[in-house]
Amino acid sequence: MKQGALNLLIGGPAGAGIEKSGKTIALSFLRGGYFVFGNVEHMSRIRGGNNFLRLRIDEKPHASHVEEIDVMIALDKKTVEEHIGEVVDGGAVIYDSDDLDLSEIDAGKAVMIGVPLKKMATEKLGNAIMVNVISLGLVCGLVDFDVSVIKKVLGKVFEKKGAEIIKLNEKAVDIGHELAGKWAGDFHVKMSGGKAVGNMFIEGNNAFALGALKAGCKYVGEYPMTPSSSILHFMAKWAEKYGVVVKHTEDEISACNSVIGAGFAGVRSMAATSGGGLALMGEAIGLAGMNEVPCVIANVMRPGPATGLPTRTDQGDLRQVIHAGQGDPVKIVLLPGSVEECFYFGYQAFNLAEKYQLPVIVCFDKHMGEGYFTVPPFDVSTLKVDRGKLITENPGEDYKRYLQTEDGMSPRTIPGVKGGIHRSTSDEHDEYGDMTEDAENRNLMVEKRMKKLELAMSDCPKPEIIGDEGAEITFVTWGSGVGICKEAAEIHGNANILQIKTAWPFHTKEVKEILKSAKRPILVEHNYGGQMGGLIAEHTGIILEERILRYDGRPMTAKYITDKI
Amino acid sequence: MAELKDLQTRQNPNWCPGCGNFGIQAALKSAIVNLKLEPSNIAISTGIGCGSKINQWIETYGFAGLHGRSIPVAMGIKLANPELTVIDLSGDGDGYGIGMCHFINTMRRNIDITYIVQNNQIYGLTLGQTSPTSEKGAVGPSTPHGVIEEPVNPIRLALSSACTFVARGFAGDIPHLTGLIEEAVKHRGFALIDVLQPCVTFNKVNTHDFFRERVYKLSEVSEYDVSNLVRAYEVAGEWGDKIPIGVFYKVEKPTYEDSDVGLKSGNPMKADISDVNVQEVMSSFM
Repeated sequence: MKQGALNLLIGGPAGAGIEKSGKTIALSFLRGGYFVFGNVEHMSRIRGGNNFLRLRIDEKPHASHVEEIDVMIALDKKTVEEHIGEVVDGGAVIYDSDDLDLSEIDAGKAVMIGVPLKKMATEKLGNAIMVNVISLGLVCGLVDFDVSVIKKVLGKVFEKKGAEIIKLNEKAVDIGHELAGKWAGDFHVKMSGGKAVGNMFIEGNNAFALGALKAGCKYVGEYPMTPSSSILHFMAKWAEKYGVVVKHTEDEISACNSVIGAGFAGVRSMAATSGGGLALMGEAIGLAGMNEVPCVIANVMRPGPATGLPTRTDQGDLRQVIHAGQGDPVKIVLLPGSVEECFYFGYQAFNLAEKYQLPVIVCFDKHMGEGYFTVPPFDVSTLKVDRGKLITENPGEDYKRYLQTEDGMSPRTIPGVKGGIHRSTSDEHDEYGDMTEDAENRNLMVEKRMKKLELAMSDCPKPEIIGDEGAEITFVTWGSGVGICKEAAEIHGNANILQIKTAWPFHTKEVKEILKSAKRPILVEHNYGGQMGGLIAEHTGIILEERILRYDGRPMTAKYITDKI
Repeated sequence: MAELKDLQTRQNPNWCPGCGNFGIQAALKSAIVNLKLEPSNIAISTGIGCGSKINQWIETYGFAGLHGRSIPVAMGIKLANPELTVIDLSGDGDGYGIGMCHFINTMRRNIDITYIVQNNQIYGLTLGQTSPTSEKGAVGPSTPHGVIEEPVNPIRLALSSACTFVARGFAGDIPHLTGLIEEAVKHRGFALIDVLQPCVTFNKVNTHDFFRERVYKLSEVSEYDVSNLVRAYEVAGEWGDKIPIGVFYKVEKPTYEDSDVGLKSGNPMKADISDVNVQEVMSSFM
């Protein structure tokens, strides 16, 4: 008997509402005091194919899935065919016996719960759509989960649809719960209620967007691109309430240039995209660096090149985000390694952008962006807006927008401020912002812009050792690799993690020091070339020989890593 | 409020003597003075090319961005601070070539921007290649055998893209162009002024004399009605012995800013962002 830990997979064709059903199950267990990690694997299509959502429900938080399944809800045969091998002995497969003929499937020691779900839904509830809720009741019955918690969740989900619909859903839960009776007694997992309360169930994308909202972002220019689009949707949803102009532009070029226009006008602004869109934004990202305009761009990675695997995960954009745009990169690149960091780095990005007057890219992968995590509400009490050298009153005689100062940052006026008139020019310019090709001025201006990066180093999140300092193994990783490696380190028992949190500017000294004392560093990344390994080698001269790399578009698991050590 | 001398910057234009841009610069400055605009409340967005350098030579706030991307920048400025007067000046290569997608899409949004296209039918700064508005057969270093495709007709393009103010000016008629700019800036919504701008160095066909002999003013055509879209489309096809200038079409419609929900609570630039309360949003994830 396993208490308080349930791995569930719900799978079926696209358009069958898997994510919605899964989310209701997840929220039910969340309310029941558990931590839930959710990972959706979907195909790039609207209907058909095979999609699935994994839920890892536990008494402690996780940032990655496992490939064992305690309960599978199969809405098609393909789900069973693909995943039956992952079902543990005594695990359950719930399916509609009228719909699916599974007679040829070797179920091993899995318990096959074939029930005429659709028929029951139609006959008893007058609506075939209630199948998913009956299944939910069935799962809860199997693991002895408190039905009243689910009913509360359904009450909230269907709040707007009225009492009748809520009642129907409650009835469906009861039917499912009753059905489970026959199998429940022997079932190997029991979920009698956890202790975690007051948590959020949130994706990396939404956590980042929430950080942007908190930071006072008032302009969003974006063109939809999987897997970043939920950032656009989030901001559009809250636009009216928070006074945010959310513009779905004609393309990413327009998105990024309009974000720069808004930044120039003194409004905190951002764009979000994936690798293909970032490629189109490249020239504009350079423009923001040259004209010293604050702006924020989220890049949520998927496998490339070109269209690649649009709905899968990857970390192959690291080099692209650093070098987007021509010339030496005048930008900051942050790499959040958890859903909390998506929020805090997202917030901080706007402060860094305004303080150092440059573009800040926040880069994470699909696994983080679209993965669901359980975390307490973010602590916003210590967050402080820093607008840098923004000037909103007449700066007086002889104002110079690009004044050479000791710290490289110049006082910045915005349109509307009397006495602050200047031109923000993408050609090389003098201290006033006016075009000049003078060689001496060119050197001073290049150095001014690059000097800001040296200074920004102290404000950018530093590399961190997670775990015991003297451990046998050091996983060197970033982004979603951090959560996965944490679990791998736990399983291994004598490993720690070096998390790189800022890709540009690079914390050479700190990384070098940590790696010098690492006994057995292993690079863990979701790309073919080991791009972070390359970056580390370039800056520190240290070459990480041992590498665990995955590039099939599927997220690693802790086991995937420990198997390879 | 400004006088002409207040609009003088630290530098003087380096356009070729006789360049049509001098006329456009003079007209724009006069319009700003006549409209009694405060220069610090004006933001000029430009692209890349000889004409776009005008940004350096008018004392207002200015953003000199990338080739073809002046419109998105102007849009971002306007939506971030709708109280500003936003004027976009860029060339035919910018707006009708590399940036045409932004041109068409921003017209249908009807954002309150004045868009002045310095249309010299040539790529001047890159030394004389043909442009999207070069006439069929025009010869340049990139088209030594003559342009094969038909030229873009920006007026017709604007008329079919829901542009609410469509006009054409001539750089050689400064008083007329000044009036057009004033009217365009006053218009609520996206206003296009396509300006016939002779390039004295590279365009030996569409010269000052060429236009002077051909242009006629629509305002002087007695029965011309600027609210008649079909008539406007018809007149926009004229290019030969007679070339119409003036306002082709004008209509009052709600601007993008009127309808955007994000602007309901006021000017984003003036929002207090010191401590935005996001508790409600966090609760929605619980």
